[in-house]
Amino acid sequence: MSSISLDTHKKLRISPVFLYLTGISSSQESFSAAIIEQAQKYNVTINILDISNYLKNDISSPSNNNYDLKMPDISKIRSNVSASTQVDFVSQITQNLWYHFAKEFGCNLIFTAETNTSLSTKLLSNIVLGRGSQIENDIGFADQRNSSIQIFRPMREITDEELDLYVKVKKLIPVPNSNKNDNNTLQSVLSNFVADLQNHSPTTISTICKTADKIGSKSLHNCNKKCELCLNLINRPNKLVATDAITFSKMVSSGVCSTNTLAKVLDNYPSNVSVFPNIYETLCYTCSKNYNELDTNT
Amino acid sequence: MPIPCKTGCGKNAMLKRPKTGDALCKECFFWAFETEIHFTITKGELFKRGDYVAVAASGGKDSTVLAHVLKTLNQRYDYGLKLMLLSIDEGITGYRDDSLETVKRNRDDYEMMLKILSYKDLYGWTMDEIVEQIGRKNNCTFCGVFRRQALDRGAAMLNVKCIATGHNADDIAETVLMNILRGDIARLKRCTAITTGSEGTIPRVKPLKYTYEKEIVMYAHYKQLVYFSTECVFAPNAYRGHARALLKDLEKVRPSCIMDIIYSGETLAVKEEVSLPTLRVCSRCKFVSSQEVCKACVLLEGLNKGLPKLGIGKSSKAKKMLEQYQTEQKLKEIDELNNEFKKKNCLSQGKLCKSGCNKNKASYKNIDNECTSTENNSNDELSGNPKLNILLKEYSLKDSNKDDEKESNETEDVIEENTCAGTHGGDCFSIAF
Repeated sequence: MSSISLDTHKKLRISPVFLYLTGISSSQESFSAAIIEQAQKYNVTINILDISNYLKNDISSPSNNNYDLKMPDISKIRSNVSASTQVDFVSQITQNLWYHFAKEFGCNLIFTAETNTSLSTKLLSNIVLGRGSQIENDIGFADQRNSSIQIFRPMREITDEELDLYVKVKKLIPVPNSNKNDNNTLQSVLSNFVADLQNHSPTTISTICKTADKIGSKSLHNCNKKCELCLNLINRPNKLVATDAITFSKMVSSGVCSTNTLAKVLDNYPSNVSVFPNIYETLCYTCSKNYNELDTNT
Repeated sequence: MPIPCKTGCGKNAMLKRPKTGDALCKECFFWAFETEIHFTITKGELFKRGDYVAVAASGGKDSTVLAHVLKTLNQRYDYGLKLMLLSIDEGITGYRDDSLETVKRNRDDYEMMLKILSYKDLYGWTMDEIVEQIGRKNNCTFCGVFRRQALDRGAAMLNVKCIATGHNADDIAETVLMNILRGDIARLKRCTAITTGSEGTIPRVKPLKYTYEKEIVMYAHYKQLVYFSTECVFAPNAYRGHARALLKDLEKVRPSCIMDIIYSGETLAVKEEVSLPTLRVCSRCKFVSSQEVCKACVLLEGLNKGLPKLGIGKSSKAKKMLEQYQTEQKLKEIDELNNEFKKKNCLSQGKLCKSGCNKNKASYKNIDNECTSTENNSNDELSGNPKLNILLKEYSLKDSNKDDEKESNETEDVIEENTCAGTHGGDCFSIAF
């Protein structure tokens, strides 16, 4: 808001639209009032949307109607799937909602407030969840997975520490973070780990973010398939990867593959045993795993 | 209430697989474990019929299980392989000398040929001696680099087609995390490859790439395999420890994250515009290297010259240290020459006395003392070092203008810098236990 109101010969000519998504965590309701108060203080209009509406009314339906992706109720997501899956799944839905409402408001850019610190944790989360090929979009300055709307991360080079100092110097009163992760999630373990390691090795966060700058994904030039949930490009690897090993393990442990049928299974591999539903067709590896967990438990 | 085996064999389950969570009886677990490795070997096309394969053996659980399973599968599915054991003796008292006894037992149990190479024979130093000189920091760097080359040398001596290492899924997942934390993009790119090696080198394969460490322990336990399970005494300070601790915490939350991390490593790639070191051959020892002189040679030079930090960190620092050392050596030589000259000749008012007398010999004792007082301790130690004399004759670093450009652009550690995790063998170039 300071940049827009500056009276200089080079004005920042943007028309910001503010969006707040609620319903992501059960404790979020009390924060809406504080956010509205903040918006009134800066004399801006803020749009507040409950994420549950997305799942009930299917606002953003999958483009490919051949696959039956049924979205469950948000309360069932919270109670029946693991906390780590919940966090990841909800973050994908959140991003889809940003795109949806950016389009509705006529916006072609989305700015997020992710810092160096949060992105370093996000990079490790991506690696741990199997989203290694999506680091460029999820951690980079510009996220270009949507052809008409780009996400920018203007605070990417700023650490949480610097942010805290700025808040103190400018005497700002931020609303406390309402999206605090459960302590027993992969994301929270990584967040604590990064914070601890940063205390011992102060270059940890900057090193991780520099690593992210150098990471892309395998060549996907001829690939035009996108994951229905996270919108990242998907491509079936042409060599042995972990998904093959996991699928085979399941087959062997469940008795599908026995001594008598082993030779046939190996000859006909990849098999039709579906451990990862719709993988490489309409879903990426991680979204397929999440969907499988949701489908099984809801 | 007994739980039936998930495969439907009719027996009661005896264990729950850490990898899949399925309850299996002992026999079905053995079969599943071995068959999954067979799947990895087959689909990964690791071996060809008739290949001579060296199994990197340390006596630890990973290499013991690997040797056992490879022998079993070789017979069961008629791979047609000729297997042998290759072991490296780093010279760590109370650790390696005990584990080598286990390797010898493996040799007898599996009826495989065994070749043992020692650091002492190859480099003239044991790890005990190295640690004595360099202290408890960075010793895994020395061990890992030397072991990697030692394995290559051993494999060349045995004339094998490839080296099979016992790196398991946990090792590879740790390596991915560690390389991200350290910003080692070059290693990150190749650390999940099931086969590693460049043209002209003997490739290394990882048949246990998708095998969980916990299942390896369980397999060894139920099969009553004999292995050595003590952690290396020099390992506690390794950086890999951070990655290992993180992985253990993550595994408690979600056991399948190990495979997810491996999948991430397999599907990420380095951007084209990022410059990576190119592989060439060391100008001294002719082994593969990303620099003109390989890391093993640089580290060895540092040890022999009493420069323990040489080779630790960026190669530009090593170059500066060496230049400084050589300057000091030259100054020392010049001083010695001057002193020698003064001893033998009489000087008066700066000019050579033409009488041919040596009367002023004693007055130069003070000058000698001043000269020796400026010498550093390392030079005192090296003065009687026969290794130094041999190596100084054989090795010398050449200045190169091209390296100056690289210095200013270098932002990463030297490619071959390595950390060794004692119980799990470190990165893809070291032995897993």
